[in-house]
Amino acid sequence: MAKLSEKYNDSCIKIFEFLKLLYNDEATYEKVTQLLAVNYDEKMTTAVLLNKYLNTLKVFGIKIKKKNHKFHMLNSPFKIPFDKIDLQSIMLFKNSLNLLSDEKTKNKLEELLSSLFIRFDENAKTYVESLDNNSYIDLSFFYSKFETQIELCEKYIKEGQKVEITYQEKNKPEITLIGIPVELKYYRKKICYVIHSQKDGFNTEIPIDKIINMKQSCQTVSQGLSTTVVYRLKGSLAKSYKLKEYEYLERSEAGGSIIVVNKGEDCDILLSRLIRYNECCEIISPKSLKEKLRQTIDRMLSNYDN
Amino acid sequence: MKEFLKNKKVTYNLMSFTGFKALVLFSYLLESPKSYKEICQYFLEHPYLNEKISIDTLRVYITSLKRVGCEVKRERIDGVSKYSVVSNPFELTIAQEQVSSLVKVYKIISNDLTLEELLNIELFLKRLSSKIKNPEIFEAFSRVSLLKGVDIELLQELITLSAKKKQIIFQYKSPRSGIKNIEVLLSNVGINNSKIYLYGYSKEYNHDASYLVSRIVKILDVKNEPDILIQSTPIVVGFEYIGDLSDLDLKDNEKIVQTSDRGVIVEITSTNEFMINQRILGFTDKAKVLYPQSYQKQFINILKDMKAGIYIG
Repeated sequence: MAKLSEKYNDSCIKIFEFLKLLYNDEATYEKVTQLLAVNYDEKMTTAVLLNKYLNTLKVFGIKIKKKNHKFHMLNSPFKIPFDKIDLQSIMLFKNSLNLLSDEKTKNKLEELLSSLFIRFDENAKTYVESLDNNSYIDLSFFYSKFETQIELCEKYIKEGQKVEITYQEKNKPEITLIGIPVELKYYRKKICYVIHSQKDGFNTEIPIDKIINMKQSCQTVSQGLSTTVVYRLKGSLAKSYKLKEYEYLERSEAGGSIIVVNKGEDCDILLSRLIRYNECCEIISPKSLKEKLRQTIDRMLSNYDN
Repeated sequence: MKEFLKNKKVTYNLMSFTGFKALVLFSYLLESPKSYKEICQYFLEHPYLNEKISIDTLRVYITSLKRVGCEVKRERIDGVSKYSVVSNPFELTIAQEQVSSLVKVYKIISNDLTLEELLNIELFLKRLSSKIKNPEIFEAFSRVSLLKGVDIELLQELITLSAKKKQIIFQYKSPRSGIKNIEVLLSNVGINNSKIYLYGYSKEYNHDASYLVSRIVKILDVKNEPDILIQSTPIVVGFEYIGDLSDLDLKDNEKIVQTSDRGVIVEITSTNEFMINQRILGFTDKAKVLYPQSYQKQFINILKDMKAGIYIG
């Protein structure tokens, strides 16, 4: 016979195990009925037994909804106090979910957000509802207007074949680029298609709303897609330089200069950065980037012709 | 069931009364440590229970709670033995893969967020990590945060003081001259190239200056009455911007003064020409300096020098 201190109550265990299933979003009809039927001697139908426990949770203040043979908890009895700053950040992440093209990553973030939503108190729910209408990252415009374009871009990335893209940026001539589609990059106000050009070895970010025409060739490409750019940073810039996402430090030199290696940054973005570094930056390789820098400066200077 | 809720009388067939009592006890012990006497009183006054609980039954419930994963502590407080639920299976736990997804989204959006949003996320995750069982999970976020290395409390103070346009003296870890004291009439705190800067008018240099917030050690003094006299005359530079407006991202000292055939005309005001140069150079060929003539000439010379230096190194 068990000691008194070791005795436990079966109903008590079941109600908490039921709650655990609900918290983990695993409360399928099958699992719940299996759980409740264990050690149950009395002749009671599954429906009656289930109702008994559902009523218990209901009286305790937990709202439960059954959908597609699964029970879902609409409110948690154990809340986490979130203030407005927390809720704004949570909604910022929720509104950014669409920026993730990878389904697995998206699902994991959704899981995390759901585990937070379920712990909201009434004030938090009301506040979040008021925020819902003010989407922080509003890409609905892109999704409605460029849905087909986005799907096509994603398809081309998966297939890994070369594409020929014609696009035109504001006040610029039309450009036709042949390259390998790398990824779609989502920004707050735009979505860019990253194309790696094998001709010059650089990545170009093309805003998808600027694409005029796009077609796929049947050439499959298997080579690596990132171009390596090496530059020397000098003077005070070298001392205070903070490495960016695409960079790593190759070495520090005796005079205080540093050698930085950059792999895969968009060529135009990189150039606009290096131009600002002026005499504190020296491009070591590739030579083609030096040439691109010269062309960019020429175009800047041509703004002042006549 | 409806009858039960209306009359507040227990009908055993319609619910698990024991399960309900266990839930009531669990949530009561979550609040704070409670003595047997307090638990009895709570059960007695509970609208649906209206009965005491024996010490033996209480022990059975507590054993049951332990079996489902609760850590129940019994301790003597002010000479009275009290029970409390120290941890429970419903506490929020966050998985590594979930944090990785969060980090991935953060990396996508962080460069487009305002300083306020960045700060909010930082504060939110800090608070959230204090509410979960595995706070170390957020280390992956700390490594990519744009506010990495920034003292959050100091940043909040600098934002407040900047809004009031205060004059302050702070200790700065300069990469060139080491630790030094700097006196500035504050303008604002902002983000530039994924870094957080404090902007203001420097007493030492007599022009607008910017300082990396991550290099500010501490605020030494806040002056009640600013005594820095702005001696340099701010220069107003007008340039034509012909790129996409969504990429313009106007700063506090910039404004669009008119539209042009190809884009817009932006005016930037500062006492620091170097900062103006940096800003306009960053737009590459999408910007053309229009006025003043003297500045335009100087800007063209910078470009010419740059071009000449490309192959020299």
